Amino acid sequence: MQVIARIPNQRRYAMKRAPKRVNDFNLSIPVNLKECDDHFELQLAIPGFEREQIAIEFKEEDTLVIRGSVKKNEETGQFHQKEFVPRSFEKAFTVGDSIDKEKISASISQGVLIINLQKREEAKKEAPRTIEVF
Amino acid sequence: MNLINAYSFLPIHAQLSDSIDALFSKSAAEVVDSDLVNALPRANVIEKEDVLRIDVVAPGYSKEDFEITVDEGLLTVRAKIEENIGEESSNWKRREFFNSRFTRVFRLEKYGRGGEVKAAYEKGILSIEIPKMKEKARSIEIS
Repeated sequence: MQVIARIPNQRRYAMKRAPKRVNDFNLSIPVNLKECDDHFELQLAIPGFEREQIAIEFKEEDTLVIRGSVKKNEETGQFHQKEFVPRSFEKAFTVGDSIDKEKISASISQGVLIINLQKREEAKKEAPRTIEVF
Repeated sequence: MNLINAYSFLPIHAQLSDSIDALFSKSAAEVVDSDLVNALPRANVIEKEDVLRIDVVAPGYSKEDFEITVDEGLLTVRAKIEENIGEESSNWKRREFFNSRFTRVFRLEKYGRGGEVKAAYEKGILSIEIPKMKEKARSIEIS
């Protein structure tokens, strides 16, 4: 059976979906997510941030919120070129049931925040099964 | 049951999606075959009282990956690294950044002629400090 997806009214759809206020820096924090056998690894590129500026917490049971706060930029001197300004950010991820919420660890190294999300025992990857055909 | 997007009937769609797939599964250098097309890292150039500081934003590298050279008023920052975009590709659920080779050149003009250039890599930012050349007052004799 084939189903053809309806093309939504693009404009109306866009209006409906558009967030009220877009913080463009939030969009510009790139994220990698890697799945390993027993855990997920979430990587955020946040150059210029130190450990003390990062807060990670659980909100409403299944939302992992990562916040980075920047104090006022006190860089003195004359900018000849300014392509990068560290700004405060907040990023949220929904964490499914397969994650053991007690076993989450994080580390930061050279501007990359790595969050390790351990899977629950029952969610760990099983070896592919072969199914016999009779 | 197959779910087909209505757009996939257009022949251009297939072509486009192939090229787009190539863009995401290969690095830009592989697609266009050049070192320079890679997204350049962002940089700030700040002039301080006695130094000129260049901050290159490049998270996730290690100190050894960078090569900095100063030649004829041009400062070149190069990241020499094995690109790892294809690594365990099936494990990536989302891939929005990866470390790639890059070359970025800055014109120093009146700075950096003599004096020691210092560089440090911290918090994912490579900071290069170039001492400013002090202009000595010269008197010119009229002959």
